[in-house]
Amino acid sequence: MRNIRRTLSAIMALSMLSGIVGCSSKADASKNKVEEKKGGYTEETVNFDSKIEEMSELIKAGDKISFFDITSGTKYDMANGETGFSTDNGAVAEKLSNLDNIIDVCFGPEGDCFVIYLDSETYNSIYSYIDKDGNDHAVKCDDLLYNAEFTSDGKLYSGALGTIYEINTDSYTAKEVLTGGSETVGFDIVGNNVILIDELGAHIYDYSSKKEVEVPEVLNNFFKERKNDEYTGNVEFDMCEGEDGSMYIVARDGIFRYAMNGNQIEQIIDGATCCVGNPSYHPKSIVLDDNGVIYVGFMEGIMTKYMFDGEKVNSASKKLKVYSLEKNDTLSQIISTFSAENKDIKVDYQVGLKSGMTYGDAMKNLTTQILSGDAPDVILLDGLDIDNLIDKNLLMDLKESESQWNSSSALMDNIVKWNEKDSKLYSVACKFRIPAVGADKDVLKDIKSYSDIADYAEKTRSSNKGSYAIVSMTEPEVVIKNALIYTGSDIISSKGIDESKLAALYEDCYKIYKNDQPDDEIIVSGSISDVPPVYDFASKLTSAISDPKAVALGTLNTFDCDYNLATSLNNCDQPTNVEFRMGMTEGSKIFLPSCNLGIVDASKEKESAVKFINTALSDAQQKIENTDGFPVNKNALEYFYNKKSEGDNDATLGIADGNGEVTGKVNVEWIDKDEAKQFDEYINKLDTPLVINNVIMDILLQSGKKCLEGSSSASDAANEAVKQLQLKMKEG
Amino acid sequence: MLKKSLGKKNYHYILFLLPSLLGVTVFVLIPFLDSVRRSFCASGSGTIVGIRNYKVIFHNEAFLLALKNTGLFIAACLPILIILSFLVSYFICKLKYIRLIKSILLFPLAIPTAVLLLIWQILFSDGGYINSILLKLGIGEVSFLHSSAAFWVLVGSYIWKNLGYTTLLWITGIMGVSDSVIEAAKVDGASEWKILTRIIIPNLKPTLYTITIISFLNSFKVFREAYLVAGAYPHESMYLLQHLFNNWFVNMDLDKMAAAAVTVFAIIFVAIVFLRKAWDKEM
Repeated sequence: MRNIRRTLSAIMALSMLSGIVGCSSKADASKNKVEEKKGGYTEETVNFDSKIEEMSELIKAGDKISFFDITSGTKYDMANGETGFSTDNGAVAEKLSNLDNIIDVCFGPEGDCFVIYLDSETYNSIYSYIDKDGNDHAVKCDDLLYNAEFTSDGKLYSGALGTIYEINTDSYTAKEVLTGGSETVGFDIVGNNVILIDELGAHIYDYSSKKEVEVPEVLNNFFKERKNDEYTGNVEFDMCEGEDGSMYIVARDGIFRYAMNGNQIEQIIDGATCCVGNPSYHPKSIVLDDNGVIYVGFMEGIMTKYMFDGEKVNSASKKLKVYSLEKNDTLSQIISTFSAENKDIKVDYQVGLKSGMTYGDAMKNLTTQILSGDAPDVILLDGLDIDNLIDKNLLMDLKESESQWNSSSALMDNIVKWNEKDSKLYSVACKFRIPAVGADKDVLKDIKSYSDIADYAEKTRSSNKGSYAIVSMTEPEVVIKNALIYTGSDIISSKGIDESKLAALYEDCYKIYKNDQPDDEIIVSGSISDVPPVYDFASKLTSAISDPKAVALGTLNTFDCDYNLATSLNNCDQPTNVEFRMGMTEGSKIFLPSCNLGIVDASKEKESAVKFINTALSDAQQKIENTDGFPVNKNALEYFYNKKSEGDNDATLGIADGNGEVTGKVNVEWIDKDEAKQFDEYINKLDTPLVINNVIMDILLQSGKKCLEGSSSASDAANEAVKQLQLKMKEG
Repeated sequence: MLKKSLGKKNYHYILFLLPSLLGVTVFVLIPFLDSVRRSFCASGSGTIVGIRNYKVIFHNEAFLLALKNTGLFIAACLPILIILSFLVSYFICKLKYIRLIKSILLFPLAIPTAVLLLIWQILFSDGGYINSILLKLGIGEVSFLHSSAAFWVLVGSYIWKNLGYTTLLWITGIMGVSDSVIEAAKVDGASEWKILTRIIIPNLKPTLYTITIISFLNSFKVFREAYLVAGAYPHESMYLLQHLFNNWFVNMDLDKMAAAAVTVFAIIFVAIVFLRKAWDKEM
């Protein structure tokens, strides 16, 4: 009996221990080893005889996959068994080619079509059903329809803002069948299910039973997560019907398969390893042919196809961990290119600041990773305390490997190598922004400092009561951050913050904030690009054209978006004296390095990390333009300088007044050689990088906000910020 | 024979205690020993640097400031809380409806931190309720959260939150004192004061020890409110050891953090040992 008792107690004790013993050390050993699998999808780009400008949604109608090039008015088809698309010159295609301003078009299994387009004069939406003989029938609907699709048996459904309509192709009328929220994020038909995704989630209407059916939770969550993701935006996913009633979904993070009513959505292709995750392209539609080949169409007019290869060996033998505090488009782009070039390396991209997290939380996570020996290999240093990382010897000296990432010496050393200390290079900048000021010629002449702008704003507002913004800044944080672009290098140094200069800055910010609050309207209510409001220059410059009292403050970020516009102000169809200047003063040498990459000294994949830096700074990568800044590679810059001669790169930009009415337009021409030369001379002289880490920025914003909101004087706010920073410095 | 049997029984219990002992070892003792090791190593490279980290922290102004503030905070809070809660409990014990009062006493502990922060902001911010009263009375504004007054705001917050709970502990202790002894003293003509100082207080020494330890440990929890109201870098008078540790962790100053943790542990350990010994002597 005693033995039984002993044995039982031993077993119970051991069972209680299992939780601890279960933490095997084997998992740690396999951390950097990538599992080798056989079988996978191969990606191929689909070629067309002529360039597709704007691709409609890919439609599988009958045995054909079709789409329409909205710009050229050409319909493309590919029948089952064919390997490429050919143009369709039938009656429907011809009818479509005569229409302008097409919003959406879909094709039925009988060769018929439904098209949504805008009237060229009134810009009202017109809905038209075109039968297979090319006869046009207007469809009546009071709601604004955005998408439409035929079912496999020829029924037609359309999605409006939060509503699904059934369109009768005999009576040409629309009947509401389901109402959800108030906006439409996605619309598609998969099997018997008409799916509408709005701000509330997904809604499914089963057209065979004519009832709304319950949406599986896993599917609803999938769409909600992607809708909330800032990176993917609102509409960058699409669905199509797969085999056995399954559903294929394309999103920025990959291609997924879902068996209807299942409880799992399987990722079949990782977005990071193919075009789908490339930030330069925006996936618009997906379709699966009868042979299981997946076709994905992109907004940019390209199409890729994915075929399953059972023998394909996923040969990724290494894993490279890339970390950034916030999601960064340039970094995503580099990862995409790097993954395509290095199939043997799997890139694991981690973003530190997820929703609801603070900078401190993100840093604690990073510290924990470093402590546990699982540190990232490549770090995007933007927003991090770079000096602290250098002090802790966490960053590798990139000079040792310079021959590998700068073999052709084609980089702008004054910008790329801004973070060189004691003959060691701790990071490289992949992009840079240039502070700029734009205003009426006479106003700009008198602007020599940020204080001049604040005084001007105050003076202008007192003599011109009215509802307009002077510098288009209505948020305290944006005002302070923007002011620091011009004055940050004066105020912040390695010794700390200059209190009197900070107090002066807060006073200036207060003047601007106080005088920039329009009574009932704002001249610039949105941005003409996706540049953050702090840096946005182009939108403010257009404001200055429509209102000579306005001043544009921001940074030049790209040729396409900012510099071309700034140099094309003479091409405006309304008289303007607006000019711009790089830097607050003539000869300013301030620049904002962005996408700063460093390699962690403890990295186990230093060789791959150096390759990554090489990709980031390569000619091809740097030629990809995005809003994070100008390239730092001279060959890429040269490519942009000469782009004017490479076909038509000009664009037209509308100028709106305070009421949003278009009052004029600017013909934005690509920069010519003289303008390129001027730009090149300027950037070669840049030698003052402005980098403010998140801790300091937070301190400055918190104190500054109190001043701008009137709860503290400028000097008190500056004093508080300085004290906080002193405390931080005391921590050593 | 009985001793032998008990010994064997204990052996069986040890088997059941082993998991929790292992848990404490894995999650507390080993990490602490690792902190001791790290306190002698450099942060990034992990090379042994001897007592350099200890020298650094004793010359580190932030550490000395945080240590001083934390010490001052405990020195101010503990006596105030213990005396005040004792007086409150003594008077409550004389009242009727003691059950209802007991429930009310726990309210501050039940209030979520988010609500507490809101109350702090409403009361103590620069444009807050107290400042508006001060202005109406013709007294100038006081920046409660950004001046040396912040320390006393923190003390007040701690007292307010813990007063009810500590009072409850005292009440339990007071009610545990035998009524027959008090009645006998009254029959012998002892005054209220004499009953309090000669009978009640001497009988409450074990309660006092428990309250001291609990209040001491609770004093470290006030960091949450201070951090959420004033952030990682509050006014100097509010800057506690936990602020420093938190910031050092964020800034990856693990070497200094380890040395400071070992130092603080040593101070607390020595203090508790002395307190225990002094207690044992008195008892």
